Amino acid sequence: MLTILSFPAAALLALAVGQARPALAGWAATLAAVWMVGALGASWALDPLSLDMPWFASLGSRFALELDALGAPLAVYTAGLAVPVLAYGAAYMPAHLHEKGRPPRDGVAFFAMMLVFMLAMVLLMLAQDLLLIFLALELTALMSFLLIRFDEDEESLAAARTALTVTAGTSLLFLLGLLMIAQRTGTTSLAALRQPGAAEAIPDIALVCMVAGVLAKSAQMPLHFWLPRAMTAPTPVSAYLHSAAMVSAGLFVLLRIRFLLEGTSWLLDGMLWLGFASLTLAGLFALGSDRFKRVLAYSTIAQYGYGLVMLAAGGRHGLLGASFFIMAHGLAKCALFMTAGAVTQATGEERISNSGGLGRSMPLLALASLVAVLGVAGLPLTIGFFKDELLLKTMLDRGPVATGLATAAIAMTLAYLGRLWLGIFAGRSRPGTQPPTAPRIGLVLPVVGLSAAVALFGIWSAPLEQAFRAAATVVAGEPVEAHIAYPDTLSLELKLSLAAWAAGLALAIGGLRFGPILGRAAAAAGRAGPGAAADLLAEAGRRLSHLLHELEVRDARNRLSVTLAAAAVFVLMGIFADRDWPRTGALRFDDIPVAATLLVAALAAPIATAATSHTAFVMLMSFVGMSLALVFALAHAPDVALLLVVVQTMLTLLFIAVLSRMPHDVLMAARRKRGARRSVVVGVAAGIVATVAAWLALSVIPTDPPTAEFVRLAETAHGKDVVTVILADFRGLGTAGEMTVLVVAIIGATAIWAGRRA
Amino acid sequence: MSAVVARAVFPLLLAAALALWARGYAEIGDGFSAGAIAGTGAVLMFVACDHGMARRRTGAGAAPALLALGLLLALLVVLAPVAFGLPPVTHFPRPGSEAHRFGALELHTAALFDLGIAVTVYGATVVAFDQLFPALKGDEQ
Repeated sequence: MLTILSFPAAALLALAVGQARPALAGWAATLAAVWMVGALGASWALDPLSLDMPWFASLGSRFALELDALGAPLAVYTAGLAVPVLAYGAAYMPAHLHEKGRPPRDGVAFFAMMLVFMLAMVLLMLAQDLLLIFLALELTALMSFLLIRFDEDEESLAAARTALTVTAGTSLLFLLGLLMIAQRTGTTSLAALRQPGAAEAIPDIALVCMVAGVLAKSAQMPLHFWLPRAMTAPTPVSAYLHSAAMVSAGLFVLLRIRFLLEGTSWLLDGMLWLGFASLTLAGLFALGSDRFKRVLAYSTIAQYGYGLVMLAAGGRHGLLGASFFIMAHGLAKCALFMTAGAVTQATGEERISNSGGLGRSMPLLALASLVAVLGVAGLPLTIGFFKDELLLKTMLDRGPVATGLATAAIAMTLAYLGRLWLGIFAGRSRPGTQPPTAPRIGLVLPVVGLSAAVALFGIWSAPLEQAFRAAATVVAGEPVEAHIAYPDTLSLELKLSLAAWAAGLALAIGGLRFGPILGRAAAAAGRAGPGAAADLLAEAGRRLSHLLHELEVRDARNRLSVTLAAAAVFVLMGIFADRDWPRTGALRFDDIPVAATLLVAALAAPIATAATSHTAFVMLMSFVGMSLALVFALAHAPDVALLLVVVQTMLTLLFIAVLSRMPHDVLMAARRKRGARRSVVVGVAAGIVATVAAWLALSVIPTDPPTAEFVRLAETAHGKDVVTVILADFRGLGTAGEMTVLVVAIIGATAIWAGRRA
Repeated sequence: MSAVVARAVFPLLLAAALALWARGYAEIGDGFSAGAIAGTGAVLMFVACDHGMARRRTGAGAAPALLALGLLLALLVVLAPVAFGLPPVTHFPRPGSEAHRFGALELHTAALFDLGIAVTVYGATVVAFDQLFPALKGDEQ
């Protein structure tokens, strides 16, 4: 528990350092990430973190976090990858902010959002409950939105909106699925759903919703189009969120819920072919793209197709491959994104067609990125070799068509990444371009570090096998007998790989020529594909939103009217939906004073809307409040009555203070505004509905009211004043929430007031 | 004259608020009432006295800090048990065990929570009136 609490503490400390010295923000964030890796690693090795307590009982949810064998290696990897990315960001962001004409202080918010994103990813990997998983997914989508729009130019804002619509919108499908599961099984806890027979009641449609909800996160077709657009974000964002961390969230959640999908082979088959569609089409688009980061974005879509087909095909190799894939791909792809950013900052170029020959001026970066290219392409002596081996083994079990597609995909990966690398570093520099300057060492060293890891794990695979076999065992629910190791003989997989690499190399060299043709095809597909449909939908949504804005939120009076009208309609719908018309009580003689006081208050309220002088208005409002205090006095609650008098006195003074700042004819002007009469009618109608609802609910006192239980329990909770015990104990969490809202509102109002006075 | 009365009444209202808070668990009263009563005393000061004096006597300079401290105290009582693996809002002493008493005040974490509410309500009232009253009285400085 203390480990978890230390994460936000470390992040806040880093933020405080950044606020004091903006130049150090990146390094402070890097140190916070190092702390988190250390804490997670120590917890995994010594005493795996485990927390389980009730939460949202109506859904049967648990606030359950566990550093289990599946979450632990991936949480350590995700937090670990943040270290080189944030270190890279520390060198990258000052120049980026300077280029965009922004102050260095803006970088503090950037690093804070990166840390929050990392925390959300770690939460996702520890979560053992579908509701917690949903919340973590939403947080990653929100941070991704904020980071994509960081540059605040038109392109970034449009890309961020698309990303949010796709990734957060589809999360709602996930929510729908989990609500269906909660309704059918009475729980959202993964541990409870793993119990024999527990998952049988889950309808297939719930699983379809959940799978569709998370596939968009991994940018799988047809919901892939947000990812290439998101490349407008600063490079550290692309390198972390959109190559390794956020895109892995979808695949990771599918690994977590894989056991729920066992009974729906048609759904798994559908996922398999969606995966193949992604890896083939996105591979072709990558081969045709000209911008560095676009090539890499399409490559990520294609590569996550790998992960998806292994997960969907299942089996021992498939499940091990899908678990291991996230790390094997992410390390190398992250290094490639950082390479693209370093080259662009050094040369100002972001297109293959305008680059070339940079290997001479940037030998270290060229070498390190070559290792990363070979890592993603799955060549021997890199970590990527094992993911391709596992893919081929899984597909050989599946049949010749799947094997053929997988082999073609491996060839294509080497082709488009080879084309990218050769286009940047090989050959001669383009005539007419500026002589390149070597990128700063702060941008090169993180790439070198990641590439070293890609090579190291290509030689030393034993720890990976141990960790990820345990992870696959969690996914499969039984021990998985598969290996992350080099084959002893010239196996069929190896022969297929050799053929794929030869074809890929030929395509890479040829691709420099036919790339533009594929590029035009990709652009045409972009104009007619799902991305274009999403744009049309977004435009229609924008118009609808504008229309609703005019109708609903034109001014404060309108906003209140709409809220009241909507509340009244929903309450009426609730009353009429109840088939048994509720019994109401009779008005007793004793109640007449209370009823008469309430009636007077109810009449005074609409009269206040007609007041044109400040004093009359304040007096009428005060009269309403004091009448309510009188109601409590008559209902034998003198303490509440006294409190209301005190509060009402303060409110009256506040009203006087506020109105004294207003022009003297403000009330008269308000009455002349459009929709003023309609607002009064809506207010009165809503009041009548509220009266009816209150009468239906309160006029019959049940024989065994739930409040009797509160009275009984108050004594055991060491209290005699039941109201105080309810507020401070039984619903203490609610009271604390209300206090937080009050404090935030006061701070907001004070800030606005101070701004006006300044 | 009104300033003299306000200055005399203010400490009495603060004492009444303290009593309402301390008795809250055994008798009628709670943190919100205590904060509101103390707040009324502060409002009286702002209405009746010179703004500078009202600010000094009510501690208006420290009111934003009081607001934050009250909230932090309440949130600490609510969330601290989570750090020890207990559900939020777990109060001590637990039901069934004896609580120590200090006069009318029962030493109970719920009373601490109530103190947080009282301090927050008082802080909120003072912040609001400190901002608004110079405008009302026309003495912006």
